[in-house]
Amino acid sequence: MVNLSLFSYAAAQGYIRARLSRLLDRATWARLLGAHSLTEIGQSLGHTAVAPAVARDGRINTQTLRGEIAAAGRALVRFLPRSSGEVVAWYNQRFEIENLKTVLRAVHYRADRRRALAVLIPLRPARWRWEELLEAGSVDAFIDQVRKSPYGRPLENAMERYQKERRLFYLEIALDLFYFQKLVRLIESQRGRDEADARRSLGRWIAIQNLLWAYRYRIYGHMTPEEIVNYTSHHAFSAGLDTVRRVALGSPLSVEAERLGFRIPPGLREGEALTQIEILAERERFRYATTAIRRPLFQLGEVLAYLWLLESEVRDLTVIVEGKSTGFSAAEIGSRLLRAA
Amino acid sequence: MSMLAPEPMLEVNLFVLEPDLELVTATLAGMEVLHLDDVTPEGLSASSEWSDLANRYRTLTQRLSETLSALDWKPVQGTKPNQDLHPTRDWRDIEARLTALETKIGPWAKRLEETKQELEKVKQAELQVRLLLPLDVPVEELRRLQHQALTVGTMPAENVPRVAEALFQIPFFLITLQSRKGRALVLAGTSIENAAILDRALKSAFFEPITLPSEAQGRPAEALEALKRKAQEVQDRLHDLERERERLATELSPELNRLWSQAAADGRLAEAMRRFPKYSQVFLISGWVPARELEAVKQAVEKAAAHPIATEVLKPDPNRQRVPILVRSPRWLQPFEELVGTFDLPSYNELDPTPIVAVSFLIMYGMMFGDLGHGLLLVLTGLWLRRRWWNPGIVVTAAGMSGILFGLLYGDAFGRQIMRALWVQPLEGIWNILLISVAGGIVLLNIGFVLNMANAWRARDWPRFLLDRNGLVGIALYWALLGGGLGAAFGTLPKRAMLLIAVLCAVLWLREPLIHLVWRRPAAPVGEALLTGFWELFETLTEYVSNSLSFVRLGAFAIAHQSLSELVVAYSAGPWGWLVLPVGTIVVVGFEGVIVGIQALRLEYYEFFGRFFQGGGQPFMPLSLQMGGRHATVGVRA
Repeated sequence: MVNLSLFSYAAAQGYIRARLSRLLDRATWARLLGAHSLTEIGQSLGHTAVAPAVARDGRINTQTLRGEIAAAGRALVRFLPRSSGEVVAWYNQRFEIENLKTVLRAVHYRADRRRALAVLIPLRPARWRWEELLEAGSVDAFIDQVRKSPYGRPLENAMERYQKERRLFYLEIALDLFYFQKLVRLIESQRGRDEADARRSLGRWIAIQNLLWAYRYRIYGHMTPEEIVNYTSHHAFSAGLDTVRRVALGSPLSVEAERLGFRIPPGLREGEALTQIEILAERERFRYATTAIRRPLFQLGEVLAYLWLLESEVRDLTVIVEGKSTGFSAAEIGSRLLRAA
Repeated sequence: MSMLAPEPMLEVNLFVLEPDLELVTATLAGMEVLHLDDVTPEGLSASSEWSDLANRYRTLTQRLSETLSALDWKPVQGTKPNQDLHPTRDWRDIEARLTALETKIGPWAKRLEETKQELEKVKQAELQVRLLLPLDVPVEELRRLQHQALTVGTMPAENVPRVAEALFQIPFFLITLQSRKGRALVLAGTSIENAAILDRALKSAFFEPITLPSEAQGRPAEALEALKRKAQEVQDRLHDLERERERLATELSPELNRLWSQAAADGRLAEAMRRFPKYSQVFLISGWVPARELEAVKQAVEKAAAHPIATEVLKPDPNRQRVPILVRSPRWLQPFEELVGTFDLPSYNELDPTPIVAVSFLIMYGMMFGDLGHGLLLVLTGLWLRRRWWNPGIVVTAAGMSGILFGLLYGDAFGRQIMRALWVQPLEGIWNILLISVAGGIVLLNIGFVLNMANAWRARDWPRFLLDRNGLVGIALYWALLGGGLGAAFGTLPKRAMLLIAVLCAVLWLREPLIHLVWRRPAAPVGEALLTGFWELFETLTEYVSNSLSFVRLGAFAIAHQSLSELVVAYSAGPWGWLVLPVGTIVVVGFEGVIVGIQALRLEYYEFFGRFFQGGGQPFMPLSLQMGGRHATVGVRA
């Protein structure tokens, strides 16, 4: 039986292969790490694909780069079979949700609109004119404007609680839960190798995010067990309801991290350990992506791997620029990078 | 090259005095030639008065939309207002008229909303009381329970199982009475000592408690009867209100629509003016204008303004600025722009490959799908698609026509040889067609080399022009290898050719140190540069070979297409022939049609675009009075 999806993936492969050369090469990374100033970083990046996001002084507009990742994701969706295309499309929606949260905060705290606009991820085509959303006089007016979008219902559900307590947390968590629950449903609707890929890559990512949420609520939010359970995802693959319940009842972080395969150095406080898990998880994802991208690109996993490589690039660039401007040494910066320095 | 090059743009700064700002902005919006740029130079600040005006119009359009939608109407998008626009003045008239209309509609709309809510509450109360029917205890006594905490309310339906899972530490019950529009009406209860836990769990699942209406008195059966009577009464009132809606819509919606289109256009102007920075009484309108429109813009704004306007025109610096691109393609090319746009939009420095893609895509498609009959079916499919999806329909139609053309060259129709092939029969001239495929690929790759050099020339990127693997050295090496390969295959490889290849390889190997030496660009340490240079050279050489041979698939698919078609014809002579022929043809046309399209697209994206295309362009989106503006409908990618 001929697998028709192979043909869709062939087009995606053409797209990815043609664009892989735009990723920064090892020599450039080495130059960036060895740069003595931000201007030197700017020069090194001047003739690379990220040049449009680099200012003369070497500052990088990471949101522009993230907008490019969103555009790449959107372009790939057009090639993919419908089912896996839906997964990638929804995975891509996280950029839109991030923008929505930024706008919500700006409206709630009555922040300067221009500054808020500057930190939004440029998305093309955009569902809304972000300037208009930013000018909504209140959170109620904001929700009125997004009511017809998929986010309307989750936000409306959380609205009464927000109105009573004036805490943005309820609206943000409603968005996050909506996003992750739909992503889980889409992953579970995949079949065959795509399902295995989606579970292995996105499923793992969701599990880690869920575990981190649960601990953050416990450590920083001092929430009760039932609140922790309600504000996390119950179907999060290897860190679902049972894990969340254990966390809610006080299970130590090191124990739950080890269940997911992460070893935390002893002696770290819980807050530090959370950060450590985040870095370990991102490194693991980067390794997965670099290995997967070398294979023939005929599966969902490889498409996600390409998007992750783009994300890792932005993350590492940010680390280098921030590290250099703070005066960290190359070795210190290197230890925080996802790729080997 | 002019057909491939995006329209030259100029950065235009207009310094306009406040009294002229409205007219000048309206003139520019009417012309649809200025792509606004958000700049705030030092010393200039955004003006708050225009922000207030923009907000005012936003509120007005919102109110108008809501009023229209209350009457079950939608504003007609894209209508140009038929009068002069003066945002500072117009809002008063619009607001006065809208307020008058709202006064007519408002009380009715309020009654409608209240009646709907009332009906919803009564229905929910009915459901609750129905659940209590077996108890035969007065409803008011249930509110005075001492050992049980009971609550009724609504919550998002998807949160019901979540609450049940969150209450893993206490005994409880949670009954869904009804689910509507994504919300569930639930009855929840636990013992008094666990009430706080139940309350927290419900709250964190966005539960909203509700109370029974005053009509729900007495025993449940009596309360239910009272509620039913109440529901009928509310329903009757709702019907009367719906009849009134129809009368109001007929009377008021034409004027509401007119006001809406005017407020929307005024709002666009105010929105644009809000973005202009100002210093004292002078506003700066900054943006991108196609060079050919510059004089028209200057004349129009000078005519519109009562005071002199200072104009500054700057040449773009595409290496530092994100210059929008506008490509005026002929109409026949516009559907093919989507093929390129799906990959990315060319940047201002780059040539737009759409014409080349259109031609090469069609040739490649036709070559792989050459059959008069199958091509004709594809044309018909394309014509049918065109009614709903214009651009894809046109591409499919053109691909079908290319299939017909190659069908003539192959002499095939529906898998049968119906005439003498004008060129070659794929199955009879296998080597011929495979070699032609590779030769066609070599031509396309060379166009890619040339485009890369042209793009580098436009960007004044000399290292890329000269030393890139797709630059001058690259194309020289490619031809030297090609010539050398042919020489070796058909005779001997001259020593001079070998020397040339060695020199060109050495230049590519030492590319990074050379660039550092000549153009002073930052470079990796020498050892590292040599090592990476060596691997890049290796990759380049293998890429030249693999990219060229990749086009062999054109011939291979042509052969496969003919073989499959002949197979269908052969089996159609059997006992189930009447079924095999149509089904087989549909499979060949549908299945192969898609595969061939993807293969052609892959060759474009990977083999061809990989040579020169960088992308990342920003579409030209001029200030306009309408959503999208005229460029969105003339086929420029936006």
